[in-house]
Amino acid sequence: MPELPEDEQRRARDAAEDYQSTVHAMLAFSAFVVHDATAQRPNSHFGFGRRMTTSEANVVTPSGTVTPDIVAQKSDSYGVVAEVKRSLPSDRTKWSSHVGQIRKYDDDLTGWWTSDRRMAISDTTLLLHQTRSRAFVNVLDDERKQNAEVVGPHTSVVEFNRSDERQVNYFFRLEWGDVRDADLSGRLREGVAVPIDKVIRTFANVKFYDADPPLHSLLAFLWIDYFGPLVAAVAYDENLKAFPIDVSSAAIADELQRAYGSQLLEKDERSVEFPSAKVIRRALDALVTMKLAMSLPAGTSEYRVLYRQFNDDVLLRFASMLKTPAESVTAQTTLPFDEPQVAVTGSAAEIPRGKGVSNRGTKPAARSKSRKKPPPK
Amino acid sequence: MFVEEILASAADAVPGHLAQLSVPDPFRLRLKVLYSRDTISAALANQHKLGNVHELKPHAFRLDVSVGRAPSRRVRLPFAILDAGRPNMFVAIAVCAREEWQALVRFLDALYPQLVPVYLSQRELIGSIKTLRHSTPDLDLRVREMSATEKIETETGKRKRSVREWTDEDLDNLLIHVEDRRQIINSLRFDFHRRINDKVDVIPTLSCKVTRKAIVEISGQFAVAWDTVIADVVAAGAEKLKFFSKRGLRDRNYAASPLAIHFKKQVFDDLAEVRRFVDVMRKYPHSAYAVEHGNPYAHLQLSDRYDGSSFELWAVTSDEILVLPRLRATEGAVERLIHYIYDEFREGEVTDAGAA
Repeated sequence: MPELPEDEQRRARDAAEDYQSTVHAMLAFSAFVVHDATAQRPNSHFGFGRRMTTSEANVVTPSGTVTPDIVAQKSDSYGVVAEVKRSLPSDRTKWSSHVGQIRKYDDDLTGWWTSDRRMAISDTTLLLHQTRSRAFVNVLDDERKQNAEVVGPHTSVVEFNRSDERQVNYFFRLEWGDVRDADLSGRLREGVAVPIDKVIRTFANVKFYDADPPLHSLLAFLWIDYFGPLVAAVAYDENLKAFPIDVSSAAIADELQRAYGSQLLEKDERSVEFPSAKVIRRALDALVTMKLAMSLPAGTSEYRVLYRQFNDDVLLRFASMLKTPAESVTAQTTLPFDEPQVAVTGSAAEIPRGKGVSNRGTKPAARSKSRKKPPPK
Repeated sequence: MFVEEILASAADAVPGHLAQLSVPDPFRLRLKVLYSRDTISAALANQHKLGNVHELKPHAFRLDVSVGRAPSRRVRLPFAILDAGRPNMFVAIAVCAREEWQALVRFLDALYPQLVPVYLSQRELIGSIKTLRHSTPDLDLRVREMSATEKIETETGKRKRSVREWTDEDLDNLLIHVEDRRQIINSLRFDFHRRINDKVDVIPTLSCKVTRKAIVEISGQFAVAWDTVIADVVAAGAEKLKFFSKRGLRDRNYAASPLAIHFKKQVFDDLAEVRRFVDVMRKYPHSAYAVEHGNPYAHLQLSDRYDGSSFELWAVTSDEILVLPRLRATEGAVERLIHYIYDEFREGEVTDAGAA
């Protein structure tokens, strides 16, 4: 596989990291709303992409359904609806759509975790990365001068960034407007730092939200975490030069939702499912294009993944393969993974591998990253 | 061979026979602590098919192996793998010279993940020897030899240096010395002397060498070693493997069970250490990896190709690595990963890293 130029490597990593950072920022902000310093507040809840119903009076989408990135209920009388934008298009004329998006959230929405599904006091917040927050506020002010109704009465802008100091934190600060909860308002005005390690410890598994992850990132995730463990149960196919693993997008989506996605959060009729079977199908289709999977004609499994062991960075490999035209991938697939592998049958014990023992010639061997094969540490 | 007869006798009779065996130089009674979810027969089944191991009894085997270089020689090495008295814990035993033993250890290490080699951190090694001292009040423990690594500053940067020292120190004095020089102990050889009141026998009852690879070499009374040294090393290994078990999400109905490796120093204040950590993990043998972030903090995911376990690693604070086991994470894979980090990056202390 041709190695990506350095700037493309950086972009590929940044895209994966941006998605993960957005998930963490959403978790950090949700935790800021629903937790006090020691524990979760009574009657507090949060959800990502929750389906909320707008009122008849909604100026953008009357009696419709909206799915804000975050719905965080601090108590049964106060909540925050938030949309997160880590990046904005460079063309500022396109920012109006984001103004319109938060306008429809600034409403008496139905769908909270209360007896009548409504909230006495709720605010709408746009969480914007620090690099764009000031510029966005200027655009917001300009639009308000032309039409005061363009922004709702209870809307605010909170900037966020990740501070890479000694202790990596997510930092939130009120940039425009206000929230009506005195406690949250005071803290947001001063700025709130949420240590990233606390987010990871508390929500160790949450890897997805209701936006699709970058494809190369999802493929690396599946390759390492989902397909890797399944290799033990299949025999190496000498003809395919791969471990054939039959999978279905629905089963993968279901397990990822349980392990890393929507099913880790509160689930009810208004919650959405992520990652979706659709995005998993898209990832599997990409593998088909790369000749790392094939579609199956019928049966419970829709795809046969042709698992091969990659010795380089899997994230960059998929970023490179997605960039490479399909014909080139076809020509290359037999080359980069061409390890001297011996047919195996049976269990994980027989995965081709090499070990530094003197009986090397009598057992299957695969090339390791280092030609010298140290015993497992 | 007489030793083969001993090892192939009934499993519960082997320790008794070994207790009566006198082993001349350069041979030693050598043992290695192992972990397996399977029976030993099952763990070695594939090797039987390959024909380089012959099963004499369910616990006794003979390994056909080449040892030495230029010229190498073919040897048939009898060994036994006995139940160590703790769930899933076993002890491999052979009576042989160093070269043969090294070949056997390589063979056993290569059986991962069916057989998991147990490693002892410096803390665990010292802990088990301290336990040993307390459990043998009628024996005086003297450290005779220590091998360690220490960091040295050279013109080209920091390097590791191996040191081997012969001593006649009390354990506590030795540990102070090790702490002062920031050494990492690889092995300790110590003698047990019988003590009656305050008088100590000058002839040792038992001489033992314990290594971080949970290998024990014995000269002297095997029965004492079996009941004390081996039992303590097995206990340390069993406790650790139990702590590492059931960490995978599938084993826990998808509830996370993260671990943290805590360092005494603020290691990651130095960005070069963050980069070094990422470089070290990229070289993790037999793994697939993806680096998502390497500066100023580290975030990567990797899998253990041997058994499909996978992990996510974060270094986001200055003194800690967070290890997040993923869908599958066997205790053997956790043990292998942690000790790779200890050996190749830095030794720390592993703790649960649940919600802060």
